[in-house]
Amino acid sequence: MNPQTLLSEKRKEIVGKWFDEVIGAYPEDGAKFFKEKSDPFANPVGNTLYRCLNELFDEVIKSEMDQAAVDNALDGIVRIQSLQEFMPSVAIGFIFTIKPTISKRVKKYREDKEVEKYLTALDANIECLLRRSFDLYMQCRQKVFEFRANQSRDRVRQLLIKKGYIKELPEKGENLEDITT
Amino acid sequence: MGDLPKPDEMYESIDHTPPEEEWEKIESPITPGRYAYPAKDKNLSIMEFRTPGEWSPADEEWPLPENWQQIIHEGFKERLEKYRSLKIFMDTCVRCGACADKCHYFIGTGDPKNMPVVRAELLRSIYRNDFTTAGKILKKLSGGRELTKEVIKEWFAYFYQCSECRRCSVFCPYGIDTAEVTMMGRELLNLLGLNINWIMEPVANCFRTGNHLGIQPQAFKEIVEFLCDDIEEITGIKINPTFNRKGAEILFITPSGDYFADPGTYTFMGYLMLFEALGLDYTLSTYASEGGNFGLFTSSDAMKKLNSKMYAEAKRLGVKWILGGECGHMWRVINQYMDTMNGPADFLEVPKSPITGTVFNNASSTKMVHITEFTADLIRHNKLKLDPSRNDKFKVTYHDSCNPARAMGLLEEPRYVINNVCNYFYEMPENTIREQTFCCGSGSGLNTEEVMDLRLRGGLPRANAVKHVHEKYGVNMLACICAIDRAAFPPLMEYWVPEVGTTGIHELVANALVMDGEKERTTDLRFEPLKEEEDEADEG
Repeated sequence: MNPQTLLSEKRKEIVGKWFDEVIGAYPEDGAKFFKEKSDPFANPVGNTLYRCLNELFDEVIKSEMDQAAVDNALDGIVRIQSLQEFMPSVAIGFIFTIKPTISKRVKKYREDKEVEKYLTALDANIECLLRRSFDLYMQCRQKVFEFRANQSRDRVRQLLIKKGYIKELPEKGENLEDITT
Repeated sequence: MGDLPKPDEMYESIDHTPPEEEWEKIESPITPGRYAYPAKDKNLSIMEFRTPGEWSPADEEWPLPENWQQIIHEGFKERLEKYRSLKIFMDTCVRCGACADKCHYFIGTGDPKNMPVVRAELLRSIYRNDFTTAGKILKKLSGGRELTKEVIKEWFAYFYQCSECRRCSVFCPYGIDTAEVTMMGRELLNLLGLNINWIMEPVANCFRTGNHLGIQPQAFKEIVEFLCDDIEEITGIKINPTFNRKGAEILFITPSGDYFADPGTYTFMGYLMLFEALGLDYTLSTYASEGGNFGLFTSSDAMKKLNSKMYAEAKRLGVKWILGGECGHMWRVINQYMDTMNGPADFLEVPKSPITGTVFNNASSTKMVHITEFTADLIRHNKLKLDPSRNDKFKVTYHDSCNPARAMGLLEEPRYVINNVCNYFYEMPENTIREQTFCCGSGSGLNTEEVMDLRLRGGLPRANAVKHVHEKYGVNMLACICAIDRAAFPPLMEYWVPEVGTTGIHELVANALVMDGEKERTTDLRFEPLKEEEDEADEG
């Protein structure tokens, strides 16, 4: 039995369970709403989470993941959850929740050496997702801090420039005289 | 290090079970990033509001006056008597849930207290308890609850997580305007001196100096002159707008965001270029140098005071009518509240375009015309020479700014203008535009940096629709007609769809506008090459 094919056939069921776990982190009424995921514009959170979990699943069960596809799918989830007041461990903790679901599906084939080897590789894939999602989480948080700092800095800066109270150095290639006269 | 839990253990320690309590019992954490900083006393006192001293929403004990319950009760009673709408909004909700999933903050957070119905319930539960017979007898059974300090904290948390965009009210079968419930909630909080500085400082500055930032008259004039220098550099045409000129036909008023911050400044340049091309007899005012009215987010008294300044100035200058710029909530104040607060403006004339002769009967009472109505009329009568190919590097989509769309029904004019000045225009999905438009996430005085997280998650539904048209059609420019939008979208886009810029419609108009005597344009209003190819050629 090829474990990848087996998991692939159970995709809908596994991802559905995974999605439920992720959604379970939200308050009840919020979770109920996020589950109605069919309209991407009325419910961007539910729809994006579900779509990205599917994409992640397709990658994680492969023997070699496509890093760009992984980043893209992870970004969709982490970019949202990093803003939603979750503890960092929760915002990226969803990665783990797929493990028990997968283990359950391949339990009866565990004796098979090939399956065992495959599961070890799958663990490595999941660890890779975790590392990458931590990077993405930090990138998102940094972005928010950057916006806050920029808005604070820029509030009156343009006024000072327009009023001529401050003059910045010219860009490379421009003459200093042009801006000082 | 040895004490650290293993990842599995850590994950298992997280409780995913949703709380089983009723919403009233769920605590509303007031943590940094969730609240805007409180209003400073100096900004409250100039408006003659209560001053609570220095405090923080994170404090356990809030600086409430001794008789705070009495103040709220009497304030609530007064408003129920004064506004029949409030009483109706308090009585008629049947909790059908039509509004529940329509709020961008709920869609972005999943926090049930951000459902409009629950947000209104924060106030309604007190109403039931204190003002209805059923509530007085049945108490909790009728959905009532007692007014406690925790309720006040909850009001502060959630009435300042509503941008008063009114998307929810579009879906309410009874027409309950939840934004007005928020407004009442904020008014009551204001009676206790609980307000936020991002709102009160602009209110105080506008009241005293004339605009949100407190830009003084001479500085306003110099900034505008500086923008005129830029226009001259781009077009070769020198513009000399007048200030406070008595006897001008039209007074032009726009939000201060249009002249102190990019990309609003380009929109302002666009207005000036349009007026110059028309030879319009207009004047700017250093006294009415603000179209925005943060009084709307504070109390009806503050809103009335700030609104009256515009009309007092129109009267003093003896103009015939007022032309208003691309502002959002200014138009809600004008269309929905001005007439009962300060109107009718009988000393002005019903606006008539001096170029086309069109009479704007829709503004026959307020005497104030929206600039996209004015420009659409000009285009309709073929009064502008336009070269839309100058905007060819932009693939444009249009965000219906909440207030012009839902508070004055301005849906077609902006699109008509864009379609005439741009060759590439793409609509976002139907349930995210026009009456159903999604808020930028930063409206109603929430455009401050300390709640950046809230703004980004509240802006997700809007950004998500922009992302869709970016991926489908290559859209790279988001047009809007609101100064708060123009300030809020740059970080929102950078977070969710970094390839998309932000513009006002009149920036696009001015790019396309062929002015008599202009030199050959090589750049747009941002001093960037008109066409992408030129950019590449330069690099080559």
